[in-house]
Amino acid sequence: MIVAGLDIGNQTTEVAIALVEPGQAPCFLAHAITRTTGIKGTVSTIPGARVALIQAAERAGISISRIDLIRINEGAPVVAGVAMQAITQTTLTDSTLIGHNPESPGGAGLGVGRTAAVTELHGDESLIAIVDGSVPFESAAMFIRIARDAGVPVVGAIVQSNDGVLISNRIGEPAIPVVDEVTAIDRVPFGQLAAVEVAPVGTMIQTLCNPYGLATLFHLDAVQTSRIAPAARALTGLRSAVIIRTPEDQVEERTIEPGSLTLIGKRGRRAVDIRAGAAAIARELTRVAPLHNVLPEAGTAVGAMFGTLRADLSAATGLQGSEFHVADLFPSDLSVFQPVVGSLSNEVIAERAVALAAMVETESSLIDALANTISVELHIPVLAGGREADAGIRGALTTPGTGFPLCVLDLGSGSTNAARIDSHGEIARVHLAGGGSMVNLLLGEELGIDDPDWREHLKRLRVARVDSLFSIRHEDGFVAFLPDAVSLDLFGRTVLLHPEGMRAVPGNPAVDRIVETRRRAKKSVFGVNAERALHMLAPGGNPRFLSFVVLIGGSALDFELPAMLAEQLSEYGVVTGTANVRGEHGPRNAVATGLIFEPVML
Amino acid sequence: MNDRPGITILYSAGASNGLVLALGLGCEEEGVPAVFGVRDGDASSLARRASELSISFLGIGIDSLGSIALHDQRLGGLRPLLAKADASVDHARAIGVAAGRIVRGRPVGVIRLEALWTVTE
Repeated sequence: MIVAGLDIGNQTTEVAIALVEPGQAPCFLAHAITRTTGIKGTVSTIPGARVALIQAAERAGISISRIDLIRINEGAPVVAGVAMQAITQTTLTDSTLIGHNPESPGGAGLGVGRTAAVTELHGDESLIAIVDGSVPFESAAMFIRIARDAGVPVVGAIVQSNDGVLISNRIGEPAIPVVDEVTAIDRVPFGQLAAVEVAPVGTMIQTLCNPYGLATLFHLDAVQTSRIAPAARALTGLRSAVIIRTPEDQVEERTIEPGSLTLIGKRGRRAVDIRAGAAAIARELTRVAPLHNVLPEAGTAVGAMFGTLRADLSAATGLQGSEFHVADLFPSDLSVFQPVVGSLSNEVIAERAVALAAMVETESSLIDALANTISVELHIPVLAGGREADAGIRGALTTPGTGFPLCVLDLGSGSTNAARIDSHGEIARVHLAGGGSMVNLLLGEELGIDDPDWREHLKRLRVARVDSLFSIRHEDGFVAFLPDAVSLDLFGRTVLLHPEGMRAVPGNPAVDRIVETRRRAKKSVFGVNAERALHMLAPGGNPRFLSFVVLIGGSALDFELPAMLAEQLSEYGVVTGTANVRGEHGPRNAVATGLIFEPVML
Repeated sequence: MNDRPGITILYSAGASNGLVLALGLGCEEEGVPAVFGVRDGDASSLARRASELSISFLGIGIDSLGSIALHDQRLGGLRPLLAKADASVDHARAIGVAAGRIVRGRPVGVIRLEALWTVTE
């Protein structure tokens, strides 16, 4: 009979088709892979499954109707992938700030004074000249020069056009700080106290990024200093900045509390504040383990996150939100870029946050509903056979050189599944929240990149810096020369080395920052989950009693992750390698292949 | 003229003073010195000649028809990096800024006028 193994994952749907005869080894005919449609475990995945089955059947040279049996995962425990949302508190400020980092600010130093139009520089009070785009740089420089000659202390300038150096070069000594390229200059109020700082070339500002420096300049008390502190943090690391004090009632405050989680497990119930961080949440999870459910605090950021998850799942399955419970929770610390309220140049501030991946289970057997629906739609009997991790280990065992005992880590996009088969063929397994999608989340949030395709690219591909018109510097420092001059759009930028050509990375982060963030994200998801899984599965909870670990799943194709995990697990004396399913598919198709090996029940 | 570091700008005798000045201002805003000279020729050939004279490898040419070209010495006889026919003062300033940023190794893509540029094929 012809059997199809169908593995519907969070990201990809994989199929293996084989001729299976009792008493004989399966004869594999074809395989296929396609993108998963809808939420894993629900009927919304059927369109993708159908495409994969048709593709595989075509490659096997048969009609889909020739398939006698489809086996799908007994994926009942995992209804849906991942609920992830960085949870943070809204940042407040009662000052207007321009943490602008123009390419070429003018002059240098620190100036504090009241803001005034460059055409209205009078009196004996220190002034900051505001130059809008309609004033040519020669005129602006002349106004400032004349005012200074008349004894008006002009101590800095804020300029709309890219004229900072030109103005600075034409006003004579002493030099004053000039911040330019401030596009929203019409929102700069006149008559307010402001501070302008420009650092010398190659250095960073010193005073405006220091809350106590600001307190000194603006004569602030402790309460006011704490309110202006986020502004100072937003300006850290810049070469130039402006802070304008505005009356406090001009800025609205809004706070969303991160909230708390109540963890309910076999060993009791514990509440943990999200602000305590990932390590504290993980510690409490261990105390109540195994986890039965998580109750989020209503009206908070974490409450909203779980509410969205339940609503999405209800829509996909038709079940009530209360019928789901969280079977595993994976927390990870990260920095997220939050817009600063009251800024003029879209400044952002890096806030500490906690990302959560939640694995959701339901009491009802969704897999049976899915199996029935597929069967009705395709007119082929469907058997829900074998847990995902079990199928994964059977598939992994087709890798040349593997044997019992063995541990398999399935590095998926939504979850990390692990299974261990002992020398008697007994299988133990764990399903853990957190996978490739969580890596994307951490990477994107830390780098301030929202686009999902870019997050995936930055996880999967290397980056480089375009050093000159004719050369790029790779991540490892190797300089490669190019056959043609690069496009000027890419010059001086960090680029993604995409197979179809180089692409400028949004925001132009430094290569080192991308590499460090990428590796940290991978380590904090897959590294942590590998540790968790192996501690759960190893005899006596000690991974040192394991010998061999085989990596399967889409993320095992990653260019650096297998080596990172191998290095990490080598501390336990564990030999780690990437599977080569059936000697030809690498880490792909393991679960679909393993499903074929399930005992045939006719 | 080739003993000072910076961007060499060659213009034909009939070139617009305003364009030449704007190019120089663009370079100045980026903190990169510009060295000027007068030669005969069209913008592309002037730019190529200027790049050969330039210690930074970058040269700009402006001709009497109002065209501007930016060339890197290492391109040799290939097309210039940038060229703009019938350039305005704003174009000239932006090309000066772009040249300054290339010398400084900074991205040039952020210049708002880039959509107006035409690169000759």
